[in-house]
Amino acid sequence: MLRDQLLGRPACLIPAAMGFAVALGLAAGSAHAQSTPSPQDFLDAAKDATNWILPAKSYSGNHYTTAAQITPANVRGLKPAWKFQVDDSGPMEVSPIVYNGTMYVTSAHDHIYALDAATGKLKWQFKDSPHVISFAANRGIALLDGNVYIGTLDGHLIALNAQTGKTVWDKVTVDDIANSFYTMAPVPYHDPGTNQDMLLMGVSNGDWGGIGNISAYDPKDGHVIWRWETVPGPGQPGHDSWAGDSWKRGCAATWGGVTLDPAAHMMYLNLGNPCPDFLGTVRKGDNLYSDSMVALDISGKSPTLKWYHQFIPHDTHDWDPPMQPVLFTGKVGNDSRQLVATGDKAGNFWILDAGTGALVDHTVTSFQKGTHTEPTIEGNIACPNTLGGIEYQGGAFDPATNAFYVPSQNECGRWTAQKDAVYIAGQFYLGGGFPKLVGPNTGQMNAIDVSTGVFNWRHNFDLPNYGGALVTESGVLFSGNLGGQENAFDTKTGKLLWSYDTGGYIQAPSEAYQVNGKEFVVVASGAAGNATIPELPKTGGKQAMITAFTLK
Amino acid sequence: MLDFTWRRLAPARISGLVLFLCAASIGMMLSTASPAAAADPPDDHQQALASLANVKAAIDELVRVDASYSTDRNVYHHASQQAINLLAGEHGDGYVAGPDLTNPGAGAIGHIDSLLDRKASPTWAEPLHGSLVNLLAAVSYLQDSLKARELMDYQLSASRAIAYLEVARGRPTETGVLGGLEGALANTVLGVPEGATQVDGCGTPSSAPSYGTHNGYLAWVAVPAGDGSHALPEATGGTEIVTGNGVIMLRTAAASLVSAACNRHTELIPPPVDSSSALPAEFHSMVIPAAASVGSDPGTAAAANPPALYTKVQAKAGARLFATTCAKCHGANLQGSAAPSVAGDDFLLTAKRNGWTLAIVRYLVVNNMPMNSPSSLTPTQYASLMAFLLASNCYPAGETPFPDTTDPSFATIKLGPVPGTHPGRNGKGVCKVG
Repeated sequence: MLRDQLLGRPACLIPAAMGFAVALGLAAGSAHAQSTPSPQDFLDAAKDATNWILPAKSYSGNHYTTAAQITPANVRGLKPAWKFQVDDSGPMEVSPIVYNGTMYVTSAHDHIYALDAATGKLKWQFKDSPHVISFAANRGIALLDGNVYIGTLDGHLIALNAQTGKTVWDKVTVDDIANSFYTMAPVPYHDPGTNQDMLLMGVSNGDWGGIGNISAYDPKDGHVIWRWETVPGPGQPGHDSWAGDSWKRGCAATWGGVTLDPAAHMMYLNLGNPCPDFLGTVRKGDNLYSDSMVALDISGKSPTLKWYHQFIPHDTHDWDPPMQPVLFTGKVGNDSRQLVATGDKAGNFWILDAGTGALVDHTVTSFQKGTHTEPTIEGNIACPNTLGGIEYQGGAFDPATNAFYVPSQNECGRWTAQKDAVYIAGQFYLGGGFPKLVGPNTGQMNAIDVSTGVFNWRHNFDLPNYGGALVTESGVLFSGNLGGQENAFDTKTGKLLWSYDTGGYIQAPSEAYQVNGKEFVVVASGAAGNATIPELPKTGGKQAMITAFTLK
Repeated sequence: MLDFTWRRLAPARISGLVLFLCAASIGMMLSTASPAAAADPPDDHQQALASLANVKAAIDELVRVDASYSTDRNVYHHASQQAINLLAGEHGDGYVAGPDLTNPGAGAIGHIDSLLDRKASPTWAEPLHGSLVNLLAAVSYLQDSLKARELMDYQLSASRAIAYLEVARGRPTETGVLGGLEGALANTVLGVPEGATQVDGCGTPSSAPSYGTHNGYLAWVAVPAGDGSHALPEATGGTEIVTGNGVIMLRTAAASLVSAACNRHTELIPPPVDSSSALPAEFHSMVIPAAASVGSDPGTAAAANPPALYTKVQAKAGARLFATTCAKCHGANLQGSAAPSVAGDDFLLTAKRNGWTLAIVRYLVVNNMPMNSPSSLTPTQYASLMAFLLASNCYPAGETPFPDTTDPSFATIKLGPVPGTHPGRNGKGVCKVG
């Protein structure tokens, strides 16, 4: 076994060889061609039906694959090809990365599993046991320069050898370990201007009183190449949207994903809720750039803001837009336009002009109530709650139907604000309590006509539908339901074509890939974590699991 | 746009006619089908009407008793129970049978449950969903009102219940569309009686009485222009009356949505449901004194002589509560699964590093936990949970129970690893309780 041979070597040889290869610059790409993708591979990711090398398939954020063996006609024959039991507790939220027949998945406590993508057989495993600040979750890894990279719950960025899983380096890269950590997958990027490889990653500190940022880290050693903070400081435009010193703990974290237009050197990012989450009186103003999409020009030494579009000024309900923006060319009326779409936890789906940020369409996907009323000390009800609306698992645009596919949730909550917000290092900075669940908790899958912003069809579920949307060129839409069913729909009609109970709760996106020319669909399932609702069985946790399907 | 050549009348000029039409709602049904009472099981329209009737009756009951100026507490409690019965129905939580209490059958909530209990997602599902949430909230306030001993307390709870009931019944929003049950009846196919003549709402009525519907929305109701009395759907929320061809057509608030859909030939966005302000409730937050000053001098976190703050009995009670309420996220071994560890080395070192005091930890437990239902336990339950957490973190037991309310001294007690040996401490630094 290759694995045994490599494990038998002295560990120090591997990082040493790595450093040498990277020093050669352009040669690095070919030297690691077998274990990690090249910069060109990342640029071509959207058209690669075999590999899935970026969290949302390609830099555009569109969960759309050209893999087309599974069709509306044959999807009923889809059967589990393999299952892999994950030896960790907590929810499974990973976007698996698949490259050259190896699949890399992560679990809630930052374990990494390298699996044979055809059989599910374990190649190597990395076990971390980080301190958890609040929510145990990890959404995936990056492959670059022969390494696997993971951001952890205790604010580390760790590089591992992609073939062996041995640690290459490990560095604390957050500014404040008390309130900052990582859940999102780092995004590999090669800056053509400087010939610099970088890992793009946002920090999770958006309910804990930090200030959000998006940073570029050097894959060689983890040092910060640039850092762009999401809350404007004194003297910067937008600073006056925060009363007094409230900006200092303004949050606006970015944790949902990074969308890039490499040809235009543009980055599209969604920034999260302001802090304290539920007490607006201490931070009067619009609180820029919380609950906004920002378009950043990344051609220079550090990013510059080209435009922003704030979805919810002065949010007091933790209604951030966690969905990774999706960049696509869609038809609006008779015009073909460059658009960028996203959704927020208040149940709004937005389509913007990618060049200007101007609103093209706004579709309400979830039951809304009390959206203009701040939580009170006595408490009041608003919908959706912090688990409702459109969540972080993403959506897909299908050029064949000119429709956008995205799930949403109907959930309500009763909020209570406190008289004042107290910052406590290492704890929530909310100015209130997370909402008590009120009433039924359900979900929908939506097909939205990009031309009009109106629904082509909707499918209603008894339970929330957090599984994102994967669209295949052959016209099949995959999405997992919280109850555990992986479902397949006809993109044109919305007809439910196939369903399989994975045995765990699904809140991870679905993906498709090929090994030896055979198409697979994969999804992670496990515990419900903070998505727990009264409708789920009270008894026991669910085994964390990766399930891959193929046509038999 | 609806394209027809009828004469349009501005609402101001026909207000008298609107009054006439609305007043006519007690007249005969537009439907020529068999009388409603014979149908079994009830159709959707009847279910919605029945639910609305129960909501209205509940509101009437609460308003009536309020106007009675009675000094007898039982009169008020009886009205609340009557309202709960009407809302919850005979199978609902809170229903009580009694000789002078109504049995409404399914009740307002039961009828909505039946309507929503289907795989399909009709246009009216969203507003009914909203009504359901508001009805549940109203019932919970009515249950509070049953416990009221003073008239003021009763009025506080009952008036909140009424406010929720009015939203559930339906009231105009800023877009002019009614929310709640009345909105669903006025603007969707739910307002069409079984057997009534339905035609495509994109067109114009060729005969009357008839209902114009499209994609689940009700765009207009047409009645003959001749003499006679004609019923309309509940609270039509009409925006415009158009006459012509011997027919009077009342366009609903959904008419503009329908005309847009007719041009697009696709399904519609649900109508905006009530987005007006939600209502206050009787939760009083507890803010700790002096706990804001944290983070200084973490080096002295661990007390040399840790205080005894709870009793063993209390900790055991807390252990049982933790197992049922907290362990799912924080782990049976207190090491966390979806949520962080709450005892042992990881927790105590973090507490020390961040300068957490006992006041802070108690404040977080009482105000933020359980995460999906904060502050839902009783003060005594929170006290026993705190006792269990202290015991699990190897703090000693004593003679005095952990108090139900905070104590100023808690702000001075810094948490951290407790020195000394602890029999029963496991490899993660957690002390066994019990």
